[in-house]
Order: sequence, then C-alpha cells, then structure tokens
Amino acid sequence: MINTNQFLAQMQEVLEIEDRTLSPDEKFRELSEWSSLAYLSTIAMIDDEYNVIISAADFRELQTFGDIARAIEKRKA
Amino acid sequence: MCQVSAEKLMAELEWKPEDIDLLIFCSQSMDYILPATACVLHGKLGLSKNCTCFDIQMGCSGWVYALNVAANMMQGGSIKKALVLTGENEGIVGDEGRTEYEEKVIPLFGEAGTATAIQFKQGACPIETDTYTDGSGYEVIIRRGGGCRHPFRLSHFCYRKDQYGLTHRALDNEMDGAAVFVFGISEVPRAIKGILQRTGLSVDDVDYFIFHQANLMMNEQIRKKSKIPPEKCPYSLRDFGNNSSASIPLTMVTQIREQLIGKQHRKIIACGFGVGLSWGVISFDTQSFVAPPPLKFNGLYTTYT
Repeated sequence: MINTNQFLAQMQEVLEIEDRTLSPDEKFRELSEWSSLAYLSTIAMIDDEYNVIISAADFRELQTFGDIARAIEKRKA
Repeated sequence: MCQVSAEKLMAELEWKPEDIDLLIFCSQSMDYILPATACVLHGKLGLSKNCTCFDIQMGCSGWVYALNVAANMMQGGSIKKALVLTGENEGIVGDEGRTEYEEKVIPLFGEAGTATAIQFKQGACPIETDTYTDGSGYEVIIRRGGGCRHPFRLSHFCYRKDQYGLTHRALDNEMDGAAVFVFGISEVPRAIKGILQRTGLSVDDVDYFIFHQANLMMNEQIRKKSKIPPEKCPYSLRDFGNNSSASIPLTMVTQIREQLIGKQHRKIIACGFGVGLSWGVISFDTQSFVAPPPLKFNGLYTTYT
C-alpha cells in the first residue's frame, strides 16, 4: 500500500503548491499549476520514489490524484 | 555543413580523398529526395569511384547506428577508412521568414553537421554496440506529410489544430513529448545497464557517458537512474539545443575535446535515442583522438568536426 498522504505531499512539491493541501478526489488536470512540464515532473517523481513508470496512454485515462496513486499501487503489486 | 566538416577533418588527419572506402550520411534532412545525399557528398569531396556511399535515414539514434554499420563493414576487411557524416539542417535557424511552428521549436533544436572518421587498426579495442527498435511507437515522433504514405498536397501547407489543441502543418514534425519521456527514462537506462553487463564494465571503468542531447529533464533522469556521476556526463544542450544525430559528436568536441586530444585509451559509452522509436548504445575507446575546432558556417549555422 502506498501512503496516500505522502503521495499527495510529493505531488504538492512537484506542482509547487505551498498554500494548501491536495485531496485524492481533486482533478489534477483542472489545476492552474498543471502543465506539460508538470506532467513530466510527475512521471519523473513517480519513477524516483516508487520505481514505477506509467505509460503516456495509461496516464491519459487518469483524472484525480487518487487515480494516480491507485495506478502506482497496481504497478507495484 | 557535413562537407565542410569532412574536409577539415580529412585535412587534419592527412587523409586523401582516394583513401576513403566508405561514406555513410546519416540524417533526416537530406539534400534531395533522390539521389542519396551520400552520393552528393561523394562528388563534392572528390572521393574515388571505389568508395561505398549510402544514406541511413535515422534521427537521434543515428550516430550510434551509422558507427555500428561502419565498424561492422570494416570487419569484412576491405574497408580501412570510413567517414560517418551526421547532422540535421532543416533551414530554420537562419531563415528570417519563420513559420509560427518554427518560432516555437527554435529554442529546442539546433542545426549542426558532423564528420566522424574511423580507421581500421589491427588489435584496436573492439567497438561494442547494442541497437534497439520499437516500431509500435512510430507515431510518437513523426512528420506525416510529404512521404509516399501521404504524398505532398496543398493542404499540407495549412495550419490545423490537432487532438491536443496544438496548431501545426502536416509538413511539421509532431512529437508526443510525454510518450518520448516515458520511452527515454524506461529504455535508455536498461540499454546502458545491458552494455555494461555484456562488456563486464562498471560505471567507474567508463571515462565519459555521452547522451543524445534530448532535453535536460529526461537526460538527468536517465543519468540518475544509471547512477552516473554528473562529471562523467557532459552536456552541450545549453549551447546548441537538440541536434538529433549530430548531438553526440557535437558534445564530444565542444565539451570534452581537451580531455580526449592526445590522451590514450579513454573509454566512452554513447547513447542515442529517439524517433523510430530507435535507440542504441556504443562502447568504444578513443586512441590518438583528433578533433579540429568547431566551425561556424556562413555566420548562421554552426558546423562541427
């Protein structure tokens, strides 16, 4: 099991959000901080922290931070 | 640019045109659709009629591929001196009438031509190469219009919005950046690990790892995953951007030239990766390394030898 709070904190760092915490149900693509560069940073962070690489096709299906966490978990299992 | 590079290098090496048995031109910006640019360069360099010349149409993995082919052909024994000319020149950098698309890509890409000379030597350290392909990713980096699949039409000159909302023409190169990133950080570290294992080398045994200069974020991720210290991994990206098949030799002659010239046995592993999808790693030793200083071409383009 990956620690969801820890994952959200890592995403907060990637997106350089300091003034609030993220929730698992939040749709990351709707955030003003989300960009193509943030996307690459997210893939790199997941690779570094969880040793998991999510393909571009699979990532397109993900909507919320919770979806990303579940995708990592599925690939770690 | 490749012609000037080759002339400078041949003069430095004191190679005569008639000495050269093989010329490979590797690029995706050929002079003409036909004939092969290698033949055009053969004429311009005044090479002998016995010289084998052909093009390899590969991009970022091209230098590794072309060197692999040249080295393997030398094993046959009839080829002693070969020129591998690589580079890209899409005519963007010097063109004042840039299109909307070209304005966007200019900060990312550069234009360069390179010449690499290799010579057969009995008892030289072997050149080891591993080359890979994943053709299922052929659309990840693609120029759709102008080939036989979609021959030139007037509509190819029109700007259209694609599924991601980006505006470009069928004649422009398209890239799915995230897919390339995932490909690079997955496959390249695996290929580096593979060649190290196969040749019995460790990261410590290698003096330099020269990567294709794709982008800093991807290259750094590959470097960190492969546990390569930063001092062994030079970059020319900040000066010249991504030059496709020219980027590996360009990095060698602009970043570590002083460290290679006059030194015996520097162990180098170079890795090219990109359009195809195609990637390759090559392990070689430099001995009696020669590199004339890089040149600027017509004040617009930068040429390197």
